Amino acid sequence: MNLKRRWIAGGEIGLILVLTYGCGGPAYEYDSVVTGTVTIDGELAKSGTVTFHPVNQGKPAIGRIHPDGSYSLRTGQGDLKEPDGGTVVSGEYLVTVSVTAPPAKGATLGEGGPPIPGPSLIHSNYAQKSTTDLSFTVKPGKQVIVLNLEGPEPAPPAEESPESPPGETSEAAEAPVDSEPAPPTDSPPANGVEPEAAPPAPDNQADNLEQ
Amino acid sequence: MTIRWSRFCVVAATLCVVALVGCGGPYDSSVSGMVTLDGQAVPRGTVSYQPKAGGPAAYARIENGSYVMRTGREEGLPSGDYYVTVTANEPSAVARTEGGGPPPPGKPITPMWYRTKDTSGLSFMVEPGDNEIDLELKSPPPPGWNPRAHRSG
Repeated sequence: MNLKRRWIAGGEIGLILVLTYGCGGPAYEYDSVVTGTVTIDGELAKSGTVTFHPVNQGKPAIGRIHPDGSYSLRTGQGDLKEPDGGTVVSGEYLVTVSVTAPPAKGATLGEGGPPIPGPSLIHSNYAQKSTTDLSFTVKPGKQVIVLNLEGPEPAPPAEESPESPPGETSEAAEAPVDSEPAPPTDSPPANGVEPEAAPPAPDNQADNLEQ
Repeated sequence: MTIRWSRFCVVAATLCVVALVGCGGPYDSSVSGMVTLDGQAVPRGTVSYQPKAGGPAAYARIENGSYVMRTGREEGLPSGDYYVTVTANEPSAVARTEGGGPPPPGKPITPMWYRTKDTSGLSFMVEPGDNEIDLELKSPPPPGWNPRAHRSG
C-alpha cells in the first residue's frame, strides 16, 4: 500500500514536470519569444527580413516577414520542433530591416546566378546597424514588437514624375540623401550639420512596444 | 486504492486543461469587419488598432473590403479601447523607376485623415470575445481638416 502511494505521487510529479517543460521548449539561454508586425508608411509589408543585432555580444536573431506583414524571430535554427515559435536571448538589440521589390525578370548576377534583388521599398537608413534608428530591449517572455518604417527616399532626379501624390513623399524629400560623402579637403560647418537631418522622422513610430 | 487512482486522474485532467489553455491563443478578443468608403468596399490596404492604454498595435490587411485583426503573428488582440486608422493606396504603377529606383507610391484610396489616430475620428471599444466592427469611411473632410498640417500618412 505504502509503495503504491509513493508510485502515484511520483507519477503526479513526473506529469507536472512534463507539462511545465512542454510549453516553453528547452530552457537554456533562449528566454524570449518575439513576434511583431512591419508597416511601411502605414501599409503592411508583404515580404522581407528583420534582423535583431545584439548590442553587446551574441548572435543576431532573424525573422522573415510573412505576406500578412508579421514576423517571428529566431536565433540560428531556433527550435526545430516548433519552427515558428521563435527563440531569442533577452537583451538590447539594434534592428535592421530589408524589404525589396521582386527581382526584375531574367536579371541575374552572372550566368545562372541568383536574381538581382529589386529596389529597396524602405528608407536606406534601416539597412545598416550604424544608421538604423530602431533599437529595442527584448525582455524575457513573450512580446510583440511593431516596426513602423518609412518608405524609400525618392530616387535621384532621373525619374520623370513631378506629380507624385500630395503629401506622400514631401517629408522624405527634405532629408538630404547622403549617398556620396563630401570631399574631406574643404569641410565648412554646413557639412557637419548634414547627418543630423538624415535619420527618418520618428513621427509614426510612437506605438512601438518597449522604447 | 480506487480513490487514489481517481485522484490521480483528476489531477492529470486538470493539468491537461491548464496546459491546453496555456498554449492556445493569447488574446481574449477577436475583431473582424468590413471597410467601406462612401459605401464602396475598400479593395486593399491596412487597418491598425492602437490601444489607448499603450502597447503594441494590432494590424490587418484589407482584402476585398474585409479585415481580421492580428497582433504580431497571432490572430486577435486584447480587449479594451482602441484608436483605429485605415491606410490604403493603389498599387504602384511600375515596379521600379527607369533608373532602377524604388517605385513611386501609388495613388491614395482612403483620405489622409484616416491614417493617423489623432485625425481619424475612429475609436472603438473592443469587448472580450468576437467583435464585428465595420469601418464606414466618408470622403468629405472632417471640420477643421487642414491638409497641409498633415502631410504624411
